[in-house]
Amino acid sequence: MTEFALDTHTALFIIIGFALAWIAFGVWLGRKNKSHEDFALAGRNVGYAFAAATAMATWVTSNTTLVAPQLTYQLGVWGMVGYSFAALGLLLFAPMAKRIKQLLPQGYTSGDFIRLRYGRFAWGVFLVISVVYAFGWLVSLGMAGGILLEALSGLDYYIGMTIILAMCVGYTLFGGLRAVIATDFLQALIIIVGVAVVAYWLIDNVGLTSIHMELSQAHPQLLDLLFPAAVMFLFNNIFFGLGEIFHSNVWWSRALSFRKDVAYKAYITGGLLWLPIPIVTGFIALAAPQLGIFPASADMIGPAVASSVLGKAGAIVVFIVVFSALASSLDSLLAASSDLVTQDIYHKLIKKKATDQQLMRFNRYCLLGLGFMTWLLCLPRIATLGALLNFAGAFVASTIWPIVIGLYWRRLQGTFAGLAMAAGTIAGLIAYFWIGFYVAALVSCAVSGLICAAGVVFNKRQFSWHELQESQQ
Amino acid sequence: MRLSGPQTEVRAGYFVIEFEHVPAALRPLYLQVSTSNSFDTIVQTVPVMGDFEQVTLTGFESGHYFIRATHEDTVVSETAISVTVSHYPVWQALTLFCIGALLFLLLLITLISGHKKAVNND
Repeated sequence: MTEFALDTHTALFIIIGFALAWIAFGVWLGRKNKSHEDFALAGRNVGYAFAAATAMATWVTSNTTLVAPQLTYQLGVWGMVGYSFAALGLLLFAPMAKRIKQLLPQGYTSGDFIRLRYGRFAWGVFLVISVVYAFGWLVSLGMAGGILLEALSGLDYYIGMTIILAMCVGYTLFGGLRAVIATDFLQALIIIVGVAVVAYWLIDNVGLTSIHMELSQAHPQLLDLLFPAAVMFLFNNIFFGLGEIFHSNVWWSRALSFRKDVAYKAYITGGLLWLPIPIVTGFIALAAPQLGIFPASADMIGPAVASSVLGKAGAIVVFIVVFSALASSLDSLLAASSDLVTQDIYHKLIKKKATDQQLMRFNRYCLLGLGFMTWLLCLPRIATLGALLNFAGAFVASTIWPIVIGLYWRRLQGTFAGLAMAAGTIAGLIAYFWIGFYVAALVSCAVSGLICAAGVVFNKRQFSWHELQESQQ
Repeated sequence: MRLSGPQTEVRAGYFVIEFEHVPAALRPLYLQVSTSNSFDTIVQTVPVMGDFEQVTLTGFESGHYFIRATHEDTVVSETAISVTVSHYPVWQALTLFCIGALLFLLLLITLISGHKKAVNND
């Protein structure tokens, strides 16, 4: 029988304790939600400390805690370093967040901007991309929860995944974005302290020299700076991260919920705080061969190594850190996706005269529905976390150019923007299946950029920024 | 006991080996990796984690590898399987790297100039 770092009862006790605490916190915070704007955008009044914490905590997710070690195990040093470059997404979004707040002071979602700036064709393509990405990320997070519990405690994958999903749906349902941001603040503190503790214990227990010797002899490719797949992966990961942040309503709803002049500083701080985390979590995977740990599935490597080196107490720390990271992203994505469906589909297409209370009620039903659909999609473990996430890279990277150009420049019209996103996605998917996951986002972004450039060159009409004010009606 | 591995060439140095019908008596199970069919030289011996029925191996350079399962120094797999690792050519990787760098630079210039323009207009 497998010996697990945590016994199943301890893991269940921790997870149920956290679940009850977070849900109670969500209910308490939800008392202040009087309108849909309170529920969806926390009253547009989030201050700097909470704003920076939520930016950092939301970006620390299954990507950084499970996929960063997975990619380091697969692609070596470049997997770890390349992953940390995803911080560029937060850093470069900082000026954009300021611009978003300026252009759309009463806006709700990223979909609002695309519809008003580019029209219905581009908006339709954008919504398809957003939905695919949101489900890709939601499913990867749900799966990560199940995998984490299974790797650390032997608890059945389906039970662990179900509890984590139910908890996040629970407190977001009651507290809305206010609960998401407040829990993110606490979860960010837990993550920073936990990662620092794990890093210290690892350096103290596993020497760098012995790890290097083992890798040089038995796994030389992991140290090779010209490892072809890893070299291809580097910029792909950067564009994937940029695409995720630039297009996703998770980040737009935060920019819109922050107080004036807070967004820029908050995203810069969040990015800088996030930067070293994948290095630490990735380093864990490099120690695996020296410790004689070869996981069944590459995405189990982080928890497996940490619990092996750190023992039971360490396993509890790792468990709480990863659990917090997953929750902080899952709740954000659930909230942002249900806002997008409520505002962009229900309010703009189905019931244009919906009252504030109807919007808030629909938003809650939507949250429940999203949670249930995510649970259904998590049931079959269809791919490793890394493969699942990078599949979404082909979609999101196609939105980078249309969004950046659309925010700052007048000379790009909807047809070209829509075509850029559609063609970029298709090209990225072809690259994903023909070459590998490590080029999908890069190809998608390159093709989308070329079409946007053509759009800027051939366009004669200048967009008027006043057309964005429709959302105030 | 039967092993199975990737059916096509491995392009990134990592792959999954699966095994069927492992009786509890054969645990702990190990995989031996060699560059020769006769297993004269063992490149690495990999312990299989817990009672899982697959293991992910990583960090291989281009070449042919043979893999078999052992328990207490006795070979327990019916046959050894072979895996061919063939990395992408470095020129292909560097070409994509350069395209990525150029694209990123263009994006950075677009974003910074747009931001400056917006600040000046304010």
